[in-house]
Amino acid sequence: MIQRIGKIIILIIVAISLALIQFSFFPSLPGLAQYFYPGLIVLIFILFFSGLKLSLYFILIFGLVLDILSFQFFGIYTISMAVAVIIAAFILQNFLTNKSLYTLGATILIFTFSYNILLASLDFIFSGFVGTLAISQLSFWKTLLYQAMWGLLAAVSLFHLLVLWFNRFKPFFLENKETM
Amino acid sequence: MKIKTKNPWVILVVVFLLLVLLHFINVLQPVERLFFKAIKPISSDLYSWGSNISASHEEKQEREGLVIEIEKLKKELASFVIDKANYQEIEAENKKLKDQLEFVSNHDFNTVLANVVAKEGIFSSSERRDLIIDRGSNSGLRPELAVLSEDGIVVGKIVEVLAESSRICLTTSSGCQLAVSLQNKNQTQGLSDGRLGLTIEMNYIPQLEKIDKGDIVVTSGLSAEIPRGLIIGTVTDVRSESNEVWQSAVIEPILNFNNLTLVSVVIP
Repeated sequence: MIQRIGKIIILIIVAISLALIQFSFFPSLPGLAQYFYPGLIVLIFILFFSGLKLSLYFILIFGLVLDILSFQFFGIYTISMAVAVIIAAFILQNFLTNKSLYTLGATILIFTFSYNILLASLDFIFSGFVGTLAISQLSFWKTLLYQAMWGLLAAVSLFHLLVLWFNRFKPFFLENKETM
Repeated sequence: MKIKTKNPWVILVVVFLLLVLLHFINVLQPVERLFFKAIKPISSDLYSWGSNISASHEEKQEREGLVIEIEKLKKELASFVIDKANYQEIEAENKKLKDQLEFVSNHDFNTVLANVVAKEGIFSSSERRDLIIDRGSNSGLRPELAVLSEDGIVVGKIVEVLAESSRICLTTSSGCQLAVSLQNKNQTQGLSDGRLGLTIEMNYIPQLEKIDKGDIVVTSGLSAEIPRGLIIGTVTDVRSESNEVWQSAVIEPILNFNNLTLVSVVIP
């Protein structure tokens, strides 16, 4: 029970911290760094390594913090992320069944694409169909491209870190197993 | 009938819908306000760090151009010294006239200081994003109020207000319009609108009005919420076609809006 409460507290702290960093820090950075969305990358990693349930709990906190801070229609971030993560989970479960770097990369691309399309569409709907749909603008595709690029870069980095980590400890564990 | 369900999907959807409902009937507002107050210093610091990184990045890029700029400015400074002497004389005369006519002083308005906590705009680049400040309706702010930089230059106006935060559109953002006038002989009036997050365009200027490069653009006071005489920028280009009813001017903002961390909102 205590362990479970501890896990929930950690999830809440991580989600709130990432939301604050994503909301205040990265958009004020210059160049391509302003398109880095750490919360979304962590969300895809949670989906890939832990499953849909935990990623939806993460969205409930992370998305709501963004919705509270933002001036957009309340709930827009949470809904977009939740639907995008469900789409990514469905494809991951039915078509991309092995857990490799390529699968993680594909998940990132599917999620990024779905999330941005949903966000642009909902923003257009909730603003009462005023103005132009963001999908028809170059800035939308630029954001999408840079977000996907950062996601893929994070995936490659993480995979290399994991490979390094396991290569370092594999002999130790094997040796222990043989001596036992 | 007892409802027995431990399905996590149902719980998640119900919790989310409940929160959305509570938000729209304003029950959640005290919690949101408290949350915003709690994270305000963190958000402000995070934004400042990002802004400082951005500033140092820009500084590095601009260093080379600065050497040439310094030489140019030194020459300009010499001519400004002469101008300053003339202006001081005019200012003294102006002050006397204002006193006589019982004009309100330039600073006859209240200001509310606010920290910039974020930049927001779905699918827009950094220059085109709106600013979010940590003051809202609880501090007496309302839409259409002018927002100044630390140096007293107009950076934008408030477009949306919540209890503890406000959204500001920058004068360089498209759709951010202000009633402005030129500090020339005729006090030419027009409407300013942002262009691509980089410059400002002054429109609806009658063809017969004479505009010169370098003219200072200030708020005209036609808007009830914005006092007149607040500096916006200087004219860098004039676009005039003989077959058009209006002419327009390109205004260069005096300040770099990327590094704003502290602003003041003018309450007339």
